[in-house]
Amino acid sequence: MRAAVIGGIGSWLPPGLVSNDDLADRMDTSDAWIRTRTGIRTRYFVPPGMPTSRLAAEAGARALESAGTADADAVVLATTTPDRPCPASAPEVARRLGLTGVPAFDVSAVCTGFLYALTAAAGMIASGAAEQVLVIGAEAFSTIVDPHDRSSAVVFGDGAGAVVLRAGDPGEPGALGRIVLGSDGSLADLITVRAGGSERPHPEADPGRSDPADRYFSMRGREVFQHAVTRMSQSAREALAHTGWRPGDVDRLVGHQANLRILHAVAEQLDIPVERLVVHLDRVGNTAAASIPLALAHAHATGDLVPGARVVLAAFGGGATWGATALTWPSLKAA
Amino acid sequence: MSTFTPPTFDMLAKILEEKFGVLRDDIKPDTLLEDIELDSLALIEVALTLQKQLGVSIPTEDLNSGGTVADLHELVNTAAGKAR
Repeated sequence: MRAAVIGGIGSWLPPGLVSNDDLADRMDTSDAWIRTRTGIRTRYFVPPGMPTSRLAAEAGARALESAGTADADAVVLATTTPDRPCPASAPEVARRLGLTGVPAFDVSAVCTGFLYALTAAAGMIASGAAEQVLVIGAEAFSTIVDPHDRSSAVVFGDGAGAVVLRAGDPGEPGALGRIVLGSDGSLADLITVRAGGSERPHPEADPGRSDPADRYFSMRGREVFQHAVTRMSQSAREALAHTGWRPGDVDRLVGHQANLRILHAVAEQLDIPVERLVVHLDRVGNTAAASIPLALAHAHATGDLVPGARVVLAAFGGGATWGATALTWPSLKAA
Repeated sequence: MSTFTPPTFDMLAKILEEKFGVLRDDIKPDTLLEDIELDSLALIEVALTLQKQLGVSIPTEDLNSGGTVADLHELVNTAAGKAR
């Protein structure tokens, strides 16, 4: 059977670096509060008018370069913040990359989006529909966060990460193991943008029924914390069971970069030493669907992730959705 | 027959001591959680640690940082008991 193998990786951050002190200047918060509650020190915000497709294309171009190619048979984009509600942003990403004509579509699973997108791409490869797929997680999350909501505004950041998946052998480094996925629609209110969809039109279009704040992202942090830890550790255990690895065999745990305390709690649940966590959120915050490929690209570039390392990816996000997979890290060119 | 054992006060105190660096002498039943600087996420972290140690699911909706160590102990015990 054909496997989907990671053949290239790349990432991109927009130019607007924002420190905790910068945020403390404009709202009631502090560097110490943000660091102890989240582990985040800096994040990047897109300048006004920079769409998600731009971030995605920058990361995608670097992943293609790392894979030593300019071609892909399809583009799959995981995002919570598409350029527009309609159409999807992936066709525009493909156009920006000179790939006009290939199948291109968005995947919406919030912070689990990248794992869902990998699943879609791996399926295209397994079925023979594609030899090589560009999979991108990209977010301009600052565009949906209320800039004065101090619980969300300090957590989220913008950015993009991408991998090239190619057809290969299940035994080779970089081959994705079984991707374990799940969802629970009864938890939709935990992580949500309430208005702007078919259920509740945009507040300006529907005065009197929608609260203007409904256009912004909202999150019930404490409940998310517990569900995230429970689901990420459960799905990581399932993904490990498919590979036959025990938690002690894992060299690097790359969890969705939501909150440092969530990552530590997941490591504790799995009996994996916290030193084996890949931590990137201190630099970029929570970048939702972009967080796992951004963390992978950074760990790869800095040598924190070396060829042969046994890696587990795990995520939890809005939906609720969750997932995990395991792979042996391949030898890749840095983009 | 169930092998479930409710989390003892000492078990809870050990978690507060080892995970959150609270001095053992400061952990008394009437200690206010806010006085040992346990924030709302810390309560979830305590519950998750106990969940793993006891092998039961502990719902945390009722946990809040307004009470005492004894309140936390009772809440976790009740939650763990219901989850049996």
